[in-house]
Amino acid sequence: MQVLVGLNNRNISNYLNYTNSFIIGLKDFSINYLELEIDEIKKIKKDYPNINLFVSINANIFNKDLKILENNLCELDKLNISGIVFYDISILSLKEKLSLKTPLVWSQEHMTTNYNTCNYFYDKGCEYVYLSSEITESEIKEIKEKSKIKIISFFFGYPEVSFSKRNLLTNYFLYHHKNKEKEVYEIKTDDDTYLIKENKLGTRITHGKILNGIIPFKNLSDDVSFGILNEDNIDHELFLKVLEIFKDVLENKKDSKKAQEEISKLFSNSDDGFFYKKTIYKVKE
Amino acid sequence: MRKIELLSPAGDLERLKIALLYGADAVYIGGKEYSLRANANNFSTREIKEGCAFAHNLHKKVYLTLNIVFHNEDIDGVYDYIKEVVEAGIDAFIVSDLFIVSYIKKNFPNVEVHLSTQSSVTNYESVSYLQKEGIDRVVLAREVGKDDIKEIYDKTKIDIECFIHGAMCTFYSGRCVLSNYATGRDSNRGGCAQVCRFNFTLDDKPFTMAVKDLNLSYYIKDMIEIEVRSLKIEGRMRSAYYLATVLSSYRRIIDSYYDGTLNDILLEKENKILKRVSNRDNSSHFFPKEADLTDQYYSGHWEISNQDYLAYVINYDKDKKLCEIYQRNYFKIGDTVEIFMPSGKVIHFNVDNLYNEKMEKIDTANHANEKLYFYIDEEIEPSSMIRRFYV
Repeated sequence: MQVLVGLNNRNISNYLNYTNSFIIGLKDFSINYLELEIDEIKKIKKDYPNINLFVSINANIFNKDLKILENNLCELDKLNISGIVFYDISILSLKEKLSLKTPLVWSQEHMTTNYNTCNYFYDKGCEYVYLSSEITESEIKEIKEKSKIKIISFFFGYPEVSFSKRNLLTNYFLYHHKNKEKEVYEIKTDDDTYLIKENKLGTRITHGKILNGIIPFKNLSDDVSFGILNEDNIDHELFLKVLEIFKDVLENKKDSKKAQEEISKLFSNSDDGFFYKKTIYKVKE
Repeated sequence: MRKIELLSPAGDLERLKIALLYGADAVYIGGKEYSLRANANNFSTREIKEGCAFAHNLHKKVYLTLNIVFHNEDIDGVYDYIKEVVEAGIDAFIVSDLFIVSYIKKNFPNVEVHLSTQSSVTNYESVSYLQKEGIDRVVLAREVGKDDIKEIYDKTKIDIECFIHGAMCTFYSGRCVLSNYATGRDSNRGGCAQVCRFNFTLDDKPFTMAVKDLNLSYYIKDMIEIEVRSLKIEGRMRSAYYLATVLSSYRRIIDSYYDGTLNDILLEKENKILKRVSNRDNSSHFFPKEADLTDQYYSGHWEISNQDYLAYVINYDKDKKLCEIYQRNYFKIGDTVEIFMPSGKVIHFNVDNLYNEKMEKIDTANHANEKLYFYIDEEIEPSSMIRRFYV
């Protein structure tokens, strides 16, 4: 497994001691990574030709977006990037139509949950799957055993929870005649906290607890090709410390249990998500 | 031009029959497995068979939801289940996981495959891809507006199904796991706990994300004219009374469009009926324009209940002119009620007589589910429903 950093900072050199694999978002087509224009992506590839660069296009695509998307895909295809991480199924149609050569990463967030569908997308030309964060470590192992697709999984950061086309924050502040003063807000129930953020594509919610998946990261190191650590909403210096811990575990310089404790000390609001906790399917029998 | 389809949910066999009797052209149901409403009663294979026979006898159709997002553990057994329900007579599967599509098309080519709104399809390139994969119909994302629907149809000619009435998700379908994180219940496998309707705080002030219900009754004409194939009502957990009321109204709107009698007066009248049966405010959301602040709620209390539904008609004895009913809510001698029938006929009646099961005269109907009788000259169709009448 290699560490794949979800960038939140344009200064790639800050990370190169820890990894050479990065994921960024394409401006206006991405919802959970640093969004860059095509020209900025070109510059990164020019400045750092040897890095693995994945570009996320994980917005829901509407008719009006398709022409621009086609142009962007053609530009990206010339850059020798490592993969296009896509949500919308139109990308498969456009891959064929535009004869794209760039590897595709099937990344329908919460729907990438079983080996059969992984095999389906592999047969349709997807080299990788970015698996759902709501499946367990043993499910990931079974997917690896029973499918040919290469696996990308999420191991550190705020997990994606929901995405809406609605402007939930703008509407709230308009209704209450208040100004929206921050980029990210916390919303809370009695038991739980979530982070809510808006961009021109809609409103995104992440869980308020940081996923600390260092133990499954180690356990799955032979099964997963890339493990994502997403810096979004996390202090840069702390994130670099986390990167160092993951690197040490990957290189067998540190025990994963000890590493888990270290990360928990850095982030008191962290847990191991659904790696060891199955969700309930049937409520009533 | 094919007449547009009116598609109803049905949570069980009773509601399937009510939906078809009250004007649905087809119903969608969930089996005991693989359906996104795990908490509904849902249908056994025997019930699916009975429901299909009932529907086919009326030249109507039954679609089965197989639209969970599969986990590894769900895969074993699904192929046997598909064979079983095809043999029970279903006309189409509604799916969201694409691995299942080619299997169905290869093994059961006479059964249609519809792509669930869970896949949030929003553009013609996606539809074009799905058509090649064998998808016969797409239930578009509820975020897709009128102009986009028209363009998708014009460019692909695929059968398009659109939600027109009922509860809405705050988030893109399939793209929300609030339920998983807040309650441990898997929203993409039928366990959605509707956490988007919970009360939150933001900076210690109340914050909600709950949205109003969908009501596109004023836009049925537009949907027919942009060649939407099927109009879908939400709600496999909804009551038989709700379904009968909503379907009757939409049936009248659709039929009046085709016979040239659709006008503003009819739309206003039907909307009054639709609003009475709803337990939330409603809105047109994304169809005519982008959704905005008027489509949401901002305080904690918005659910209302009503006691409009008074009784269900079991039978009418033509010789005795005696109507046999099950009581549903309190009413009394002297009340004026409205009786609406599966054929669409509606009559008003002043309750001037009422009898219990022993045929003793009574003044009030105040026991839920009690069998009661009244005499009425006008013939009442079985399965009619009686509701409170407001001038």
